Amino acid sequence: MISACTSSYDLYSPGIRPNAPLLHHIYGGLHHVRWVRCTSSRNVASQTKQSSMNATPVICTNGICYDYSKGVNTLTNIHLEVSRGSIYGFLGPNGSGKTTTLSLLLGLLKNQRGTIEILGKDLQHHRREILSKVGSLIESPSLYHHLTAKENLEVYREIYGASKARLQEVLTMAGLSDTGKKTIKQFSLGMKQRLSLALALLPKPELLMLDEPTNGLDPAGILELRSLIRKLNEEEGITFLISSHILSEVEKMANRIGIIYKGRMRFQGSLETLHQLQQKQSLVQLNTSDNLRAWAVLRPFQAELLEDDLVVPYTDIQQVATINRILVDNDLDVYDLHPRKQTLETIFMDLTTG
Amino acid sequence: MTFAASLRSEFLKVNRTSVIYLMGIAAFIIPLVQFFDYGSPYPGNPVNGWDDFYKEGFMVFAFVFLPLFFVLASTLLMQMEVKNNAWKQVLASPQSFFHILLAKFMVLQGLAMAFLLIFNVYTAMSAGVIDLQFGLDFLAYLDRWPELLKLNLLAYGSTFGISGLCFWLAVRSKNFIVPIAIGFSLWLICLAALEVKWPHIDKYVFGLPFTIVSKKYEHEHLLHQLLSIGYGMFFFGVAYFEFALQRTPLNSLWRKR
Repeated sequence: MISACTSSYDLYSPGIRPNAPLLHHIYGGLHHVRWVRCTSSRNVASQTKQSSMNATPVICTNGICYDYSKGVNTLTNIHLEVSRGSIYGFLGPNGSGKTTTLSLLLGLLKNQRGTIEILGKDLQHHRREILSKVGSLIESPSLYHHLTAKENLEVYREIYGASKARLQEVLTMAGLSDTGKKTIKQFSLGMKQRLSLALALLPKPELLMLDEPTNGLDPAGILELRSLIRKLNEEEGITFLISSHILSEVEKMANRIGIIYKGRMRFQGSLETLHQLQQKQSLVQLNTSDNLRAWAVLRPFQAELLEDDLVVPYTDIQQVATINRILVDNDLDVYDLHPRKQTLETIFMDLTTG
Repeated sequence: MTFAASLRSEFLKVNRTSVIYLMGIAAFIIPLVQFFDYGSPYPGNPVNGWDDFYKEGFMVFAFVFLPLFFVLASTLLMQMEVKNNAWKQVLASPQSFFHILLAKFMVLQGLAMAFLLIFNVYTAMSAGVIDLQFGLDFLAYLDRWPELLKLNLLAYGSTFGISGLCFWLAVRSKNFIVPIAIGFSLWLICLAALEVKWPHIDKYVFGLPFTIVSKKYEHEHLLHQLLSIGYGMFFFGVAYFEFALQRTPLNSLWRKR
């Protein structure tokens, strides 16, 4: 099957709407945001021209679902799309399904429904070929504690067809070339994490999947990791899929974001789209002498009438002043005017709370 | 991505693990006990230490030590992945499920052969010391190497089925205790079956090593060896399908992956 993900599209998955009136403004405001899905080769023709202009997707999943036990949906209809050369931040609170998704992408779990394409090939039928170009770090480090750092890499060196020079290179890159005969059980968590990253880099991967990579790292280690990720992305063109539950951490590295909550994608798009969302989501809450008339007056501002209040989205504080002036000019008394500026963190919280 | 790479990877992992120490220590027990238990050559039948050691020693080794070695070693090999949380890294590497399991199974067989070899070395050393002590001709027995080789092969062949069964138990269990407990219980059942002279003991996987030391079955060695190898392959096959089908659909097993 030929990959035909339309990677330039942004995705907003409505899913469960935690704050429907509030999010109505977002949906209304983001006309360019739409669903994305992998299309079969039959549908390719019409999109070929457009697709060829877009970056090739490295990961493209279509409607994957997973249940650990019957009746408990861990993942529902996950459409994930990671463009080549991007740093994709996969966000969600603990237990939202990030690790399960990554495990499915690496073939660690049996795919129950939907399709997974990685590097343009179906994972089920080209598992070994795909995995030879993918590095991974899933949850805690997977290292043999009775072996040294070098021996741990040596275990996988020939499997990945890497040279001894490459082994030394990644060991140096991880800052562990001087650990000598020290076994892993004597390593700190940060050192283990760095060695795991070295292991993930061993095959010179085209794609790196990192699950909570900053776990156990000190602030200096986090900064180092961040700059290493950026460097590898810019200089070697490695695509990254990084999962985390901390938005601020991912925000500093990623250029595309996916947010998952309770096994459903809540958002997928560029960081800019998320920033736009942030602006669109800023609302001014109003209470006037006649809310119905105020609503009619403020319709051009996409005002919405709620039970007791009137909410109006705004992008900058000058707009709030304008709204107030319009109301006063229309002989409406303003009893309450409360601007609520949204941050990325609050958007994330809105998207990931029931 | 070849099988050789998978095999090398598995052998590298067992460096400095407890299974290596287990092998070195367990192989030493029988020769040590026999060394102190020897006393002196029987008057009127001056067989040397070599004869005595091999006849007695191999019986215990094949029937007790080798089966229990498989119970412990196969569990330790799998627990190495579980304890180090390393299964996911193994499975995310470009190896087929078949190569992963076959490499592990080969390592288990390699360890068993090393165990046999170490046991032979220890035994020869102990017997040699005894022979020197009593002025017996140790070197005269060296030309009986085909007999020794046959004994080794029979011991290994008769426990191959046990290795397959223990391997399967270890693969399917994330727990350390369960495969050991089941393996040990199955071995105890064999002892009980021998006690009650169960007529089908030669078909019971844990009873097969008994056939190499029993006069009753001395003309059926080939049959029992083949049966043991058949058991080994069957249990390995079950282990593989169970392992692979947990991770991929049946139809994709036949494709080049």
